[in-house]
Amino acid sequence: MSNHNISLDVNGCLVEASVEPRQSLADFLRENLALTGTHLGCEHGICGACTVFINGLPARSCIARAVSCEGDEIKTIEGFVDDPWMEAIREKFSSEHALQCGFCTPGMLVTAYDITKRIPDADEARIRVELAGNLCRCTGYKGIVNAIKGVLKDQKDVL
Amino acid sequence: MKAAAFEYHRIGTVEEALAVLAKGHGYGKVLAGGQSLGPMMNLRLVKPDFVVDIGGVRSLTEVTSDSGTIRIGARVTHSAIEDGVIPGPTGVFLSEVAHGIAYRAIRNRGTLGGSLVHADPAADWLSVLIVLDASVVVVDQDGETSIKVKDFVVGPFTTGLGDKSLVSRIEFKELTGKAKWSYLKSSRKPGEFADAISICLRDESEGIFRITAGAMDVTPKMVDCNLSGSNAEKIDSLFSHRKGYKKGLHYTLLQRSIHEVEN
Repeated sequence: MSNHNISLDVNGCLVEASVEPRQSLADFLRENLALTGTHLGCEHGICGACTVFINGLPARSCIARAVSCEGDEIKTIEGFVDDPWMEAIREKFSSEHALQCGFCTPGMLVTAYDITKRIPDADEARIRVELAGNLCRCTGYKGIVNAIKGVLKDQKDVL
Repeated sequence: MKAAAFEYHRIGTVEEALAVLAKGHGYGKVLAGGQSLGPMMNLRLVKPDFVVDIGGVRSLTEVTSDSGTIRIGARVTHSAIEDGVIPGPTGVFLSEVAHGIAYRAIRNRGTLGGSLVHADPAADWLSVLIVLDASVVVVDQDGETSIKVKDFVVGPFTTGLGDKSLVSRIEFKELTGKAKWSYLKSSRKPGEFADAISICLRDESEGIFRITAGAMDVTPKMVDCNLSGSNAEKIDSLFSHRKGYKKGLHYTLLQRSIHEVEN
């Protein structure tokens, strides 16, 4: 089974690599690029811990193949370090106690980023539906939902 | 778990895909969005010898509407449908359905054609395409063939798609402004595969009154009902093979969906 050369943009840096087709994008990020902020939970697309942005849209990196991401733009949790919107989300996660063990947190933050940008008028029920694809085994959903509500409220207050 | 090793082909056109499928040795799979194939491969329920990645084939993402027929490219994503890529009343119906499929991160990559070919009996699109009496256009090196979705899917996870063919698009008749529908599913958690799906579609100006029951152990079933008069016998025929709690669940959902459309 032959390797393939790929070239993609990860967090604004051009990455060129030779990959085995079976390697998941998540494993490529973690093992080849040492970007271990992307977590692997279920490895079949259910738990949401591995959620990253592919070409600006949230996606599961555990069921995407690195080889399929030729030419794509990948943004992992590390890539949001200087993003002011994500900074606001991180602060709310902290003040609302929206993380306990922290395993689900990278996926939760990426999903929270998408929810707050895409559905600025989301109420609690909508937030819960949109968040249904991210599992927190500490069951700390209350804090996570409150954090997202808080980000949306602050944003409305600014406007 | 990690996927087993496979040969990988990234192709840019339908013709290239068909050429690779025709030449391929062993068990080949076409990769569209990979939201079903990806997990199946990770779980090693599917171990293809080679994979043909159609993720770069732009011609398969077109949506057109003319003379009352809507044609949707096989690679159109659930989130594109959710966001309204399909025009008219049919688009409103399908957007509602798409919103309930799995999660946004899955919908961003999962495709209509991929879902249909995967043929999970609990998949939303399978039931919806059957109630719309949709056709699937399959292409191989001899050209295109159009098959009704209800005939294309022969059983759970099983379709009539040949190993050297590809689904290129899905077609169905547009609904009119008078169409009413109710799409209900029972899931214990938002985004999960349903325990029961019920669809009622009524478009009086076209003489359409169809009911579909999905998420059973078999391919979703559809019956054409009478616009006036009793349909009890037809409805019973949908669940003749079911018993107990599940039968009750399907009946209840079906009654609710008919009620929603008639009121």
